[in-house]
Amino acid sequence: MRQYILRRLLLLPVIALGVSILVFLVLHLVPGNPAQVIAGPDAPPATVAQIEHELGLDKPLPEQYWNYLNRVLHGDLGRSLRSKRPVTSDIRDALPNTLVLAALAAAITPLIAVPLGMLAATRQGTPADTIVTFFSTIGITMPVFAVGLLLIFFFGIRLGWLPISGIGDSLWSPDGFKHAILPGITLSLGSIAVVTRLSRSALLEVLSQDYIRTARAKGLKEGAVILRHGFKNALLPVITVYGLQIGGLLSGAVVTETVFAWPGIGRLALSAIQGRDFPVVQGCLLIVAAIFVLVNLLVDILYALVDPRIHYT
Amino acid sequence: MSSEPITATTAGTFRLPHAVAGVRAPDPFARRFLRHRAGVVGAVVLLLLILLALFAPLIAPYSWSEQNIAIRWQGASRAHLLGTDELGRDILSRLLYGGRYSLSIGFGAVLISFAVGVVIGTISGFYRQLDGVVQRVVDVMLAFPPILLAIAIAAARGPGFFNTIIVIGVTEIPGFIRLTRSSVLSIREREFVSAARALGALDGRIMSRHVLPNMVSPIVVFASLRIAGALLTGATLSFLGLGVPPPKPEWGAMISTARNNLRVAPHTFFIPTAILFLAVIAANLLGDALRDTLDPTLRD
Repeated sequence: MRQYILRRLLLLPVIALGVSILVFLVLHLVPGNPAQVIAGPDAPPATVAQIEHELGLDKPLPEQYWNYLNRVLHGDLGRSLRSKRPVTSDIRDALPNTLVLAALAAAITPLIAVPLGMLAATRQGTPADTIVTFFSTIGITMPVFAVGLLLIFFFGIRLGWLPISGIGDSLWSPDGFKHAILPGITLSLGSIAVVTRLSRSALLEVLSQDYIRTARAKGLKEGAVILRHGFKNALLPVITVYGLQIGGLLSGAVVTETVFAWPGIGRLALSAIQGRDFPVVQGCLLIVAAIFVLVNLLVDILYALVDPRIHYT
Repeated sequence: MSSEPITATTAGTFRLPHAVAGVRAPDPFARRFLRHRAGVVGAVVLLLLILLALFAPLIAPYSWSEQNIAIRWQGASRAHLLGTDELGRDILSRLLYGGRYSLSIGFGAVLISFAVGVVIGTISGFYRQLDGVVQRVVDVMLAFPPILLAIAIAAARGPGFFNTIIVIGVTEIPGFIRLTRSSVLSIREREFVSAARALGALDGRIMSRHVLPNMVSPIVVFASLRIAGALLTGATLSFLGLGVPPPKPEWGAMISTARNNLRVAPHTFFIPTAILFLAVIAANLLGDALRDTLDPTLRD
C-alpha cells in the first residue's frame, strides 16, 4: 500500500505538467489569431500587435510555454487584460468564497444523505423507501442550474424568505450565512442524492449477510444490529463515493456561483471568458485543477489507509 | 458436481460458458428488456422526443423564430398551447425545434467519444508500450472537474452547435478509454485469444474479431448512461452562454433566457426545464435497464 501511495505521489508532477500544458494551450485553441480575438474584430493592427507582444504570442510556441511554466512556478499567473490587476489577487479574492460554499455542501451532504439512506434501507419497500428513492433519482437527474433556479423561484421570489444573489455584507456574518443557504442547498443536492442512493444499497447489501442473521439470532436489538453490525460495514463504499463527490462539488460550484452571482472562482472564470480575458481564465483553470487533483489524491490515499483489505498495484 | 453427467433435471438450469452462450440463451435480450418496465418507459419517451424533434417542421404550429411582442409572456391558450416567451414566440414550437439541438448534442457527443474512446482504449490495452502515454493523457484530462474541462475548451473554441458537440465529445472520451482499456486487458488474457494467436491471427484480426465483440455489452451500457450526462452538460454549457447561443431554441439556452424573467413569466422557465428533465431521466432509465439486462455485474 505504501507503494501505491508512493506511485500516486510520483505521478503528481507528471499530471501537473500535463495540466499546465493543457491550460497553456487553451489560448492557442482559439480559432485564428488569439490577439485579434481578444482585441475584437475591428481593432487596429497596432493594438493587436501590442496584445501579441504583451502575451508573448510573437515568440515560438515552445519558448512561450517555457516562459509560461517559469512564471507559474514562480507564483506569477500574469495580469488581467481588463483590470490590469495580477491574476493571483483576483483569485485570492474569489477562492475563499468558493471553498466555503463547497465546504458547506460537503458538510451538509453526509448529515442528510446517510440517515436518509439508512431510513430507506431499513424500511425497504415501504412508502418511506419509495419516497427517498424517488427524490434521490430526481436529485441525480436534475441539472444544478435548474435546481438553483427552482429554489430562487420558490424561496426567493414566491416566498421571499431568502436572498437569491450575491454574498451579502460579508461571508462571515449572519447576512452572509443567509445568502449562502440557497447556493449551499443547490450545490449539495446532487451529492446528497448520490450518497443517499449508495448508503441505501450498501446497507441493504450488508443486511443480507450471514453475520447480520447471526447478530439477530443471538437476540441483539434491531437498532444495535443495524448500527453496530450493519452501518459500520456499509460505511466504506459510502466514504468512497462521498470522496468522489467532493471533487465533483467544484464543478457544481462553477454553475451554482453563476446562478446565484456568488463571487467565487467559477464566476470569475466565466466572466473572464465572456470578456476574453484569457490570463484570468487560465489562472482559474490552473487553480481549480490543482485543488481537484489534490482533493482526489487525498481521498484515494485516505481510502487506501481505511481499507486494509484492498491491495493496490 | 462437475464430474457428474448432466442429467435431464440439471440441464435446464445449467449455465453455458460465455463463448457459446448464444447457442441456447435461455432468455433473449429483447424479452428480458421488455420485462424491465422502467426501461421500456424510458426508451419510449426518448424515442417520442426524438420523433417530435425530427418531425418538428410538420408538427410545430409556428416557426421557432416568429416573434410578436404584442403577445409576449402569455400563458397557455388554444393558439399557443404552452404559451409564448419574452419575444412572443410560441414555446411549443421552440421546444420541438430545440429538441433537434439538445438531443443531437447528447447523442452526437456520445457517438464521438464512443468512436474515439473505443479505438484508443483498444489500442492502449493491446499495446503496452503506448499504454503509459495514453493513460497519462487521460490522467491529465481527468484532472479537471468534468464541467470545467468542457468550459475550458468551449471558452477557447467559442459557442456554437457543432463546437458544443465536439467539446462534450472530447470531455467524454477519457471515460470510454478507461472502460475499453480495462475490458481489453481482461479479455486479452482469455484462452480464445491465445487460441486465435496460436492459429496465426494478426493483431488487427484479434482486436476486431475476438476482443471487440466480447466487450460490446459494457460499452453499450456505459454509452447509454453517458447520453444523459452529455444532455446535461450540453444544457449546462448553453445555460452558461458557452453552448448553443440564443436565439436558437436549445433547451438550456431557453432556460438561460427565461431565468431573467422568472418573476414575470415563470412558465418560460418551467416548461423547458421539465422537458430537459424528462429527456435526461428517460435516458437514465434506458441506460439502467440496458445495464440490468446486458451486464448485471455493472450494478452499483
